[in-house]
Amino acid sequence: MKADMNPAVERYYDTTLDLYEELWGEHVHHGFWDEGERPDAEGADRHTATDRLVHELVAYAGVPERARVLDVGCGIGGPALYLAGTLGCSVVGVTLSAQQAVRATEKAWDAGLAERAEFHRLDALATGFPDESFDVLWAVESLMHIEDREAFFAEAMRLLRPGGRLAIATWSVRDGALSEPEQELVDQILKHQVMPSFSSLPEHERLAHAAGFTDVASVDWSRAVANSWDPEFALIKKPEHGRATMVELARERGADVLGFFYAGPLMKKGFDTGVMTYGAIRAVKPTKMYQGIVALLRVVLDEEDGWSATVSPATTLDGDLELESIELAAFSRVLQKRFGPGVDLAAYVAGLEVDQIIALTLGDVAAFVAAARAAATNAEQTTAQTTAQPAAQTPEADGT
Amino acid sequence: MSRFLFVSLPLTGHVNPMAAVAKTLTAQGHDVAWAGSESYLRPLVGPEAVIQQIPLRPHRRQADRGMAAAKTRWEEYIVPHCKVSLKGVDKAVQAFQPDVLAVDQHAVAGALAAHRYGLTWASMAPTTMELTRPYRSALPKVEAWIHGHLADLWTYAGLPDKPPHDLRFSPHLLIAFTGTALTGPLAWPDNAVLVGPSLAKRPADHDFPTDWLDPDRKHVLISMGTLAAETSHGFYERAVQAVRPLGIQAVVTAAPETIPDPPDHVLVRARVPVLELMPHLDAVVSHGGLNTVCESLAHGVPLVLAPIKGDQPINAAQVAAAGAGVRVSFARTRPEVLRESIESVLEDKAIRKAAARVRASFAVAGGAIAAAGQLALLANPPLGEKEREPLEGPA
Repeated sequence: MKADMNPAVERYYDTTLDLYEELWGEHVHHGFWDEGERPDAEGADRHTATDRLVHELVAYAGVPERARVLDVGCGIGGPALYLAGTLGCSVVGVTLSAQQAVRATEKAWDAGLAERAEFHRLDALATGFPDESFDVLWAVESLMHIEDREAFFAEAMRLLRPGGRLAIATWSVRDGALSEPEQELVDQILKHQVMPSFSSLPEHERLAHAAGFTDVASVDWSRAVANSWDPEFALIKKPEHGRATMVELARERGADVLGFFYAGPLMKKGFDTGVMTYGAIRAVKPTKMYQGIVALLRVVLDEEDGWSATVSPATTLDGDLELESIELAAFSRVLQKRFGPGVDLAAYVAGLEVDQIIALTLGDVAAFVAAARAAATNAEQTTAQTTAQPAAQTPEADGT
Repeated sequence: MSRFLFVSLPLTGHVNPMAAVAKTLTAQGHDVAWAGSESYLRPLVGPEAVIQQIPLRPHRRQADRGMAAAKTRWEEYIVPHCKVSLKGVDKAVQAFQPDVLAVDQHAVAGALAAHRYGLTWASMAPTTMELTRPYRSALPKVEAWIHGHLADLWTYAGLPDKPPHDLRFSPHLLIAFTGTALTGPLAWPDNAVLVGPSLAKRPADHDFPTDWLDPDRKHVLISMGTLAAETSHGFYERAVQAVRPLGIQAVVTAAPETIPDPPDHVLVRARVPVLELMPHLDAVVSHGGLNTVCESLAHGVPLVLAPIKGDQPINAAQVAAAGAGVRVSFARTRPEVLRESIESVLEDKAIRKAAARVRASFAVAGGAIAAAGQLALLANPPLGEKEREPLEGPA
């Protein structure tokens, strides 16, 4: 069933493309409002709110300007064109819907962004893009369509360069067991929205951790996005979508299309009862240096293989790892042996204030080692140049 | 006969060795008083002792490990304790008119009072935390931060300018309750006297089920101080697992609820009469507090040490260097490693010999009697040494 869902997802978005675009504009995702803020009945706020969600995710995940971005589930390119335009990113968008890919490409041409935004009809788990080819993997409301989320995080890990970032916004469910009626509601939503399952935000975090991501965090935006299902905002009651139109639509495009119209009331109920949630997840693929120093520390501490996954760049040496002075000294010796005498962690720590020692993280150590090694390499090159000069002058001296 | 005022901290491990010295001085006919909390000190110093009352003040909880523990030890304990006890120590000095102050290295109020009244005083080191000055060369900014606190306290006490020396080290005398068999020769200070463990007979514990100990089996004491469940890192579980196949009996000092359903060969007691038990013990597993280390080695009992904080890592390193025990990681050691370590201190002849060597050197160092002698000497220096030159501070 898992693999079979892709064609259904494809068909769903092929058949609802114009409906969504007409209704929500180029952003086929939730909007974002401040606490207490109401959507404008005229719909004037819809674009502001959906734009806002994109801005919020950019800020939360730390998407840098001019990044190479893979947009998983790009829709008709709303967020991608913002990233390519305002942020100057190079975006590759993938979607299962050929119609969406075509529409997104048209919009990129219209916006004069075709050079920096391209769209393909591709399965996000089988893009065939080379390892480490992206700075950011962006997935707005697409992860719910992917059954094998473990595979998604593993593929994200493969595609991101070390230090690259994951930026996810997704529908989710409340953590913990659901009651029978709650589960029924969730099943209804899944069925009509062509989604295999929902995960809770903590489950997403666990999956990201398990895949080897670090700095994993999530934020619950349920209250900020719930207005998206306000009937005033969703405009699902518009006269042209009356019963006759729906019957015609179903005849034209298949019964699946009707799921689109069920979404509003079901999702509203889901948000109102707290069963449905919505949130953002961010994570960072660890740098090679970080992975290297963690591997060395694991040996120093005589820890088992799985230990590395339990620490992150934010792990403190003093409080979290409770590193003793002799362990720190041993770690320092091992780093020196591996990276050269210029990388002296013990001396570095000796120069720190009490509070800095308490706050020192594995990420800090990785950054220190990288910087110290670069400094040592520079010094070597300088020495090599200065020693090379007298050697070059020797024949001259001989000649005089 | 002379008058001695003892200034300690309300910490059992700090008071115990000083109390043994005070009792010795009293037995020799000297007048001894304590500046501190009546309710805290009384059970430790005995019914006869004179106490100049300083009420006990609550302090904020200190961090459990690492540099965070060092920071809170100073900022949440040593400094506030000095400030709140300063007046009381002053009053005690005025009331008791001592010839000599015996001051815990961390009871800075005693050092300040000694300076204010121009008294002869001795620093007492019931831990090795300051003795080896671990931060001086390795972490100079941490050392400077401690000196900053001491200078602030000096100013707070209304004393002029800057402290003339490191207030943890009296220029007159330093008595440490450890021995060179553990510390090696001290590079500084010149006036340090290492007297070894200072043990006084403690009230017998009639509740302890001594007959539980099977004379045909070996016995290990597992004593990690007071560990809260959330900070024990499952150490007790790992320790119980470690001793399970060894065919030995283990006495664990811990709150009974920390180790629910202990197996038959494990006895869990909230309080254990350590000194009474020592002659029955073959090994001690400990966090490495100086008292436990010295009490064990004074009986020639080797140790497995899993240091947690403060001077414990220093003590553990010293015991390992002396060959009288094995050091393991408190947070990380696995049951198999712990088991091997316990087996090695039980079986390895070299380790047991080294522990016996430390016992002999401790016996020679003299303990409480030697410390009392040094203090008496300070109160009544031999002729010609009346005008004592203040010693130089650390280089």
